[in-house]
Amino acid sequence: MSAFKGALTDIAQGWKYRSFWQLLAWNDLKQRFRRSWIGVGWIMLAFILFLGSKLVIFSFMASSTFTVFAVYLTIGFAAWRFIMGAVIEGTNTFVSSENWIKGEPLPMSVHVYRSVYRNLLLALGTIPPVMVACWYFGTSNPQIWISIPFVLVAYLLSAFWISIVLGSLCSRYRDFSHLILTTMQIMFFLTPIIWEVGMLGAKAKYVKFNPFVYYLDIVRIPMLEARIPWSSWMIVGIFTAIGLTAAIITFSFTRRRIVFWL
Amino acid sequence: MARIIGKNISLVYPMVGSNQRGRHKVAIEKGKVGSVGGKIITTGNSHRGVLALDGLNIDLKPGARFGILGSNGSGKSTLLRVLGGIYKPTGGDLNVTGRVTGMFNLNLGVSKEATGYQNIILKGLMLGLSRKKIDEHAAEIAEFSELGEYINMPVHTYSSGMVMRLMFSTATSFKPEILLLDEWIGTGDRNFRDKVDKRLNDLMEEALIVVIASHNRNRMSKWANTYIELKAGRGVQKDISVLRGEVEMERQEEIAKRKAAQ
Repeated sequence: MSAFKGALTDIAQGWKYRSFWQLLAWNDLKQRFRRSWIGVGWIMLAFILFLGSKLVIFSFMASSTFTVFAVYLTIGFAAWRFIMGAVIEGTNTFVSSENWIKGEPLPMSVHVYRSVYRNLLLALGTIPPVMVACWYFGTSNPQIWISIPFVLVAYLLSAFWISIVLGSLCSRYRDFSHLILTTMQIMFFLTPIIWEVGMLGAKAKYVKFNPFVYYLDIVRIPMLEARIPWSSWMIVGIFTAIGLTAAIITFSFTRRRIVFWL
Repeated sequence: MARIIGKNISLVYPMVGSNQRGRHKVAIEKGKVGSVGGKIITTGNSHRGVLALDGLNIDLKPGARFGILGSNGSGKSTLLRVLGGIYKPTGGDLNVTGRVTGMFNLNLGVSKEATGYQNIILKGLMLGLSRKKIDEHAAEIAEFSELGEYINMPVHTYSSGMVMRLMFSTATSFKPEILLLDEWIGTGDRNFRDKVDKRLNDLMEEALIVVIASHNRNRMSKWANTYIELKAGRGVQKDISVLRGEVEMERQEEIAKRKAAQ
């Protein structure tokens, strides 16, 4: 029980270091684009280039009209980038913070916040193109604006528990980071992002077993159908609750051990 | 008030990934014990852990200059890190009161890609200081470290001596209550070494605890007022007069030996 309390205290303590991990995360981004002329602008540029080429290729196969598909793809792809980033960077949460973990007695959650915040900054780079696309293809309704803050909270909480669970697991058993990277690449094709569920025919019934679909629904459906998908929200809520519980249990066990695994 | 009380501290490093697969191993005679490192705990043929610290009792009051002596792998650095809160002891009780700053290794707790100045900001933010306050420290640190223009250059452009200057100046500028140093601190050039000694003396007047891990018994006998000599993770804290007596006796023996040789 005290280990459990220790984990919660750690998470609360780590929040107090926010100016520290915010700067670290920002430095991480700058470092990633160091010595490039466009710098962090690459986040946006890469997104636009990917999106543009996918739009050209896959819109011919889509069953819906071009404008609807454009919005569908833009939002789905932006959301997927965040999810993918959260999962893949989550596996490296502690491994990539090794020199701080071994050098300073910081709350372990500082490194989790750093990773999540870095993902948020990366996601912010994709928001302007998404907004331009939505404005240009003419989708704007109140359901979007109500949804956005809640979607953001759900995504950040998910990134948080994923970073703790996968970060711990992958620092102890390094095979998992390779496995998860491969799995996520496969999931990109198994998740309706570049294709629509309608294209699957009889096999469409299997899509509901893919958890990522619900995370995409909560942002995509308000945009495309101007309604709030309550059932998807419920599933996301349940996943988040289970995930956070799993994270706190994991964290109370791994928090003091991670340093030995690096 | 700074205080360190450790009762029966033990630390077992779990062994992760130290079992090499295949036959690329040096054959070691069964039962033969090396002269370095803690006791390796094994189950069958696989390594389980290393007993790095074994039942240490430590009591440090304000004004303590504590020396940790020992040869390679005796547990000096491990003990230093335990006192610094990096490793939690796996056995015993450790109570540390006061703000701890540790310099364990030139590669730890520093962002190599960030400039010297940015690293000072990071350390300041970690202590919860305002940017204005940090800038005051930064000016003082630049002055003391004599880094000049290099303070605005990435740390990876520094020599190890320069990194040491930056880290020492930063750590001591923020006035820790407990300062932990690994032995590299003594390896600066003569001029800076004098400044280091002077600054340590100044800090000592504010009733601070300083801990230095080193293999140099001679130098330690002159600097410390209490010490522990570790051998495979074991040792007893003693008054410095014991070490002084031993060093003096060794010196006498050396002289006698030299005389006999003549």
